[in-house]
Amino acid sequence: MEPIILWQTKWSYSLHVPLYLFFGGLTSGIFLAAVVADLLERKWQGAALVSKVSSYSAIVTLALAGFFLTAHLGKPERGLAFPLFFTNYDSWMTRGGWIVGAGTLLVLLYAALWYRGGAAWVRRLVGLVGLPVLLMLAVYTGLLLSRGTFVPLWSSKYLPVLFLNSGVTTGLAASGLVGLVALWFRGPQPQTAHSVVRWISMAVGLFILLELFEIYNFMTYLAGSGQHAPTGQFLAPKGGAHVYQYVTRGALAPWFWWGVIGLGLTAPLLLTLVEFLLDWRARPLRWRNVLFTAPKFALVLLGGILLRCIIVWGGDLSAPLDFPPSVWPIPPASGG
Amino acid sequence: MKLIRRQDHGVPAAQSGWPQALDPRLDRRHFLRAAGLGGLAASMTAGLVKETEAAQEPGAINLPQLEQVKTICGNCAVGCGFVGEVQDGVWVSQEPWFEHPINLGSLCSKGAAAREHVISEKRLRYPMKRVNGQWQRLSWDQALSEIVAKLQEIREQHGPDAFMLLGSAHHNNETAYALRKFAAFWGSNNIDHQARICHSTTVAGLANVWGYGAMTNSMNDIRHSRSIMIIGENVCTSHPIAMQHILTAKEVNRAQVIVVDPRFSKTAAFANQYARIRSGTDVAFIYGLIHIILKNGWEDKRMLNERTYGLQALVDEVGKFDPDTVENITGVPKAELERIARTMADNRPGTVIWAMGGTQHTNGTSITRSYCALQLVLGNMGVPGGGTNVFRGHDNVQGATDLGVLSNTLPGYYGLGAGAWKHWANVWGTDAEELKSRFTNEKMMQKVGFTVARWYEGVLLDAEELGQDVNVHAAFYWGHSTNCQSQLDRIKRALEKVDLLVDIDPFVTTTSILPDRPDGVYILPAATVYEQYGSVTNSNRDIQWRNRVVSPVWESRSDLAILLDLAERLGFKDSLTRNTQAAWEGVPESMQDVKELPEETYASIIREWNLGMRTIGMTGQTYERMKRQQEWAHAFDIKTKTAVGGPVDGEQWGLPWPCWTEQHPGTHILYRTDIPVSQGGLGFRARWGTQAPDGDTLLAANGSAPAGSSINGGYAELKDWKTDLTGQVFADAMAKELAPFGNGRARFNSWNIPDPVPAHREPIHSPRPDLIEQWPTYDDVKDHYRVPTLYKSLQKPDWVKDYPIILSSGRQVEFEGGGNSERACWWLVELQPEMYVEIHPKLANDHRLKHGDWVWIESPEDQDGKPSRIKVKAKITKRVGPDMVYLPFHWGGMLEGESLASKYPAGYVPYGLGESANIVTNYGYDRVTQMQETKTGLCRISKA
Amino acid sequence: MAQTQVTIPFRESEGPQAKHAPARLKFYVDVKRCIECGGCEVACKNENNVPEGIARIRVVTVNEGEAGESNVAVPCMHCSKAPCVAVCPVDALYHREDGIVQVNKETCIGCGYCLYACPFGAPQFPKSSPFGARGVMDKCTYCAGGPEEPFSDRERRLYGSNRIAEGKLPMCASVCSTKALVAGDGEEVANVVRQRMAARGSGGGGWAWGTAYPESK
Repeated sequence: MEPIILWQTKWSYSLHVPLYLFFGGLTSGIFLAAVVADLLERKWQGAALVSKVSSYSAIVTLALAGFFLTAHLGKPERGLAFPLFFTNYDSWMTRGGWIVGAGTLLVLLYAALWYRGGAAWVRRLVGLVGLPVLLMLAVYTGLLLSRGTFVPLWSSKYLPVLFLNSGVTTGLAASGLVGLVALWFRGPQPQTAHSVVRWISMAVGLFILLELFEIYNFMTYLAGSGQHAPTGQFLAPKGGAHVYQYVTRGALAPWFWWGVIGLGLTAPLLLTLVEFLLDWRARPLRWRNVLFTAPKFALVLLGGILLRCIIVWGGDLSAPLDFPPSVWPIPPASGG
Repeated sequence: MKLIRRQDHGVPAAQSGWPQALDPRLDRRHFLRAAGLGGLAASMTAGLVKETEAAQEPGAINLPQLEQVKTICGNCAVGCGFVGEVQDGVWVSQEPWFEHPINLGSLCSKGAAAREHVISEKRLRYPMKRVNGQWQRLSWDQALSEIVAKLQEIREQHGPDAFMLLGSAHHNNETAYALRKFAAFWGSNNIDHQARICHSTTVAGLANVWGYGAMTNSMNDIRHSRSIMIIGENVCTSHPIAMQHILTAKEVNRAQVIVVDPRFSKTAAFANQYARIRSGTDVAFIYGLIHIILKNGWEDKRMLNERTYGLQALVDEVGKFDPDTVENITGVPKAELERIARTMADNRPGTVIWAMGGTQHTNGTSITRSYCALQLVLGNMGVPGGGTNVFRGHDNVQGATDLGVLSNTLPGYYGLGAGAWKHWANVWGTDAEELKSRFTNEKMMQKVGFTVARWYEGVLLDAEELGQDVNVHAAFYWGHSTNCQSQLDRIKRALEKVDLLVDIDPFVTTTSILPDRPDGVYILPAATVYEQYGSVTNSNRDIQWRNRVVSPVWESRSDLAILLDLAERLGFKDSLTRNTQAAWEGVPESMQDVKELPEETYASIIREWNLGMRTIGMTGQTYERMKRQQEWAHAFDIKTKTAVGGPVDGEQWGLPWPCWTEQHPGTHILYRTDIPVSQGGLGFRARWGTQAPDGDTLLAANGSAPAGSSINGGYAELKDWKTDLTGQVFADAMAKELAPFGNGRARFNSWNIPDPVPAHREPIHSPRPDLIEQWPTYDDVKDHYRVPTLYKSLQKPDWVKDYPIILSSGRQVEFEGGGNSERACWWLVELQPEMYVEIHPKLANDHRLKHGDWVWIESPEDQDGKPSRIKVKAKITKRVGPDMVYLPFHWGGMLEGESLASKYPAGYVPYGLGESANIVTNYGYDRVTQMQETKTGLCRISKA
Repeated sequence: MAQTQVTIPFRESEGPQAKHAPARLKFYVDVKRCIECGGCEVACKNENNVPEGIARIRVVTVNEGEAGESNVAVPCMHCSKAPCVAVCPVDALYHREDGIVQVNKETCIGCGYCLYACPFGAPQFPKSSPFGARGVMDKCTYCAGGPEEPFSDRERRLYGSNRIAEGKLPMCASVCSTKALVAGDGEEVANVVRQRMAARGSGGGGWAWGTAYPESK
């Protein structure tokens, strides 16, 4: 007999969790961009601006992540007091709580050091110390989901990497975007500042390619995981294939193809190509930034949100559970 | 807390110092029941429950002090028991009654929601009447005095026959009996109840074949079956707990389950074989089986030779139904037909189970008799695991039928003849003359009254067309809902036209909100079955004592209290509560504001009908024995229903009638000849004399009498056995091991009713016009239960052109009957929130319908000359074939897509409202009993 | 927390030196017997005063109206390696000694992680409010109440009845129409399964047994 799929519309396309995951990953990426730009500042003076605005942005995105995280809880007040309540260190949510907590302190400290000025090496040290914590934040968003062992889509093998990658991509895009905005308002800046944005843009393109590759791998794996999908401690026969159908041909297909693959990844990639063709080493031209680079960054951010939505919403499909084979086969109905 | 473990399972309670409630022996039984292995592995001794009980130190935990009340579920006729837990007069929880032999603690969703009947927020709290379109609260006294004044006025103007009393299959035996007696003292036979539209064709059919019109074996006895044919019944939905026994037979005996139904029902999913027949072609299908059985010589020749009459007539009729013809009529491929015939023949004993799918047809009485014929031919009668297992509907529909809440008989199937009146007058301590003075005249006293199915024609038609001189002007719906009656749109008009409409029910029913009338409607709050004492008879004739769980809540009163108050106001309470031996005990002088009557009143009513109910042997079913059985339920074997040891040793659970004397154990399996009469043996009833009109004998052949009989062969019924109130005839009969009703033959040819040999007749609204000529319906009848009934004049071959789809209706597991109480329970409505129509994907696609679309269903213009229609949601499923649609019939509170919520008294709108299927079910009534035809009609559908 | 007050049922082995191992309470769902009567669903509501919109047990039908139609009642299976227990950040979900997975509504933060972790859809959340506050998780308690004092008003209000402490089995299994849903000590339940398998010749009819209790596969 066919396995039974327990279908449960969980929180009916709630946006809280996808947004929380998105902003968490985003913060991670932004922080990465900020620290890298900070380290490059000695070579490219303009990078300082990008690093500075990025470090401020990280506070905003982390606050948003925190808001969505707290808002989706049934008892938000207990969630805020997580150091008191979170006791199960086997749970990735507990670990995540501490990561978020530590990350918040580091992000705040790093931004404060930018704001107050002072010795650059202190700031850079804080940045370097914070970097693994913040990157772990992105990885954690993937691990968090992949502990839903009965959800074939939440693969512990692919999701952390994918979310890390997506976090970096969107983070870079966000840094680039705030960098562009800052450049726009701050008036003439050193040439190198524009170069930083262009480098970010190119890096985004590379990470997009990487992400496409990962998604391709992930989907191929799902489609092919007919018998044993080791998504967790239990076997989930055919689960991967089902969810592959659901994501690529089912209700989530438009979101997946048009949203993530189309708008979120392919379109920015094409824009990168355009940038490249337009001679990326040419002097900064505002029209080009407005026409191509800024929309590209925005699309990457949109794609990041949609990716989280699809992954979370696709969790509605639990792994199928097997019925034992039929002992008394029922003859087909007769007479029409 | 300290953990205590029981060391020895074998130590009796008293020795081990365990309190009685934790008696380990009971625990083991708990386990067996809980694990569902009662019949499977009786040797298993380790327990599931006992383990947890073992860990408990009595008294260590502050357990809530609850009063445990054993009671019987008030929904379907399986008769499940459960325990109500009461704290300070409030019903706080339900517990399974694991020792109960029928259900072993199990309950379906309805039974599990029993408590909600009492605690529901939608319970009717006080009497109300409709004034200028508004519901107005009344006191009981005011309501009853207004109603009685109006009744008296109607009686003076039009006579007693202007009153129609619709009783209920939810009344206990005592109330049902009192209600029938009430009608007798009122002076009219216009009294009827749900049995009319439930199993009246079964009662008439079976009674005309072998004497008694009831289920012959029992639910538990199905555990003995080796083949089980379920035809026209969806056990999973209508009688869920009976599935326990069926599945056990399937697993343990490897019984073959054969489901024959137009619909691939839930039950069909558990079948080994399933045949989809066209609705209403049961006789052809059964005859096809008999044809094959006879052709192959698989019949039980001994049964046919020794215990049946009229075989040749059956053989002649069956000869018309060769497998090809049957395939053409029923749609069942002949290979499948042969396979089923072979299965039934190879796996004996086999049982045939049916319900409304078999009965609710214009030729319902033929259909039920054809099932009997099949079982007689197979020799499956009178054996464990065989029989015709008729699953009846309501909790006490068998009892209310037995006790004559019917327009065609007095209690005990005595009929309405002079002799019947004399017998009951004798029991009641009055004389027939006194009763006659209450009636219009002697002719009307002996004439059958209106039925539930068509009483409203007594309002709508001209008096000249009726079988009585006057129209109906007052109607009481007493525990009966309207939305389970077909032609509901006509009923609505009748409800608008009567002068007085009284609805007595624990909940607001569709009866009171359906008619568009500003006044003249009264709603009286009755207590539910759980708030009254009384005995109930389940489908397999088991009489069980139902304890009152709590006193009637709010201002509601028990049905008997309302009845006696009415009788008091009408001036015949003393006659009603008196019998030849004594007056009923515990009846107060004045019934004013009496909410309920004590248990002893019910006990004395039982003693009264013990005296009179001779025909079906309800003479040995005493109050004391019922109470004793309730206490000793654990002593009964699940499979045989026989008690082992104790004061109930040898008794059958429920003392199934005939239970001739107080020493008789009850008759678990009817017509069983391998045991003596005094232990439940019987031959077929010699009901129609000793010789048939064609000269053949009607007495059983030599050697076929029940074991130990002093007469070896057939014999006529004993003299005065029906009317002897002293009990001497029964005592003598038991001493001689004779059945008081004789030892006769079952009849294939019932010469005294239309279609002496069961005949296939196309439904009035047949989807096969090509078959109408060969298998036409009946001729119209002018006076059929006092109304003209149409057959041939409505059977138009053209119907199917405009209305090409078969319309059928049936049950949902969460609801029962009109569903007025279940739809007011949100636990159930949550599971089944909406009315729907089941449509096959092909039909849906042909009509451009999607799952969840609104659909108009229109049925042919019957009598009114205009089509009726309802608007429901489409449920696309392959349950139904592409030629039919299926509607559940429990819904009410919507009409042609409009909600009637505003017509309910404020705060009483049930949680579930939906269109009533019976607006569109077609015209059609059984020729013998006036059973409504709800299973086979025609309709058309369109997207709304 | 009244942990010590909670009854721990014991399993007894036969023989003179009876060894007492703690019982391991389990559910067995026989798909060859469940008829979708809804008795378990209603009995659960009746017994535990479960609010509207919450289904601690529900019956699922597959292949409705077609050959192979099967029904299965799905409560919380109280899994051996319960994924919900593994993911709960605040240890609001935990195993009792008798294997019952209990939720502590006083510590649950309502994150919904368990909802996604559970293969059976057992965790229930009240309808969501505009700001997403869904309250805490509610699920089948195996009729064992909660961590509160047994039979206290607080326990009754938060979790429903405590039949296990009364020495009774869960209501759903107790009233099951066809004894499709069997509850009790794992070994005894396994006996039931074996008996039924023997009667049927082959095949079980149990559903998700291996998923919930991998050790007994």
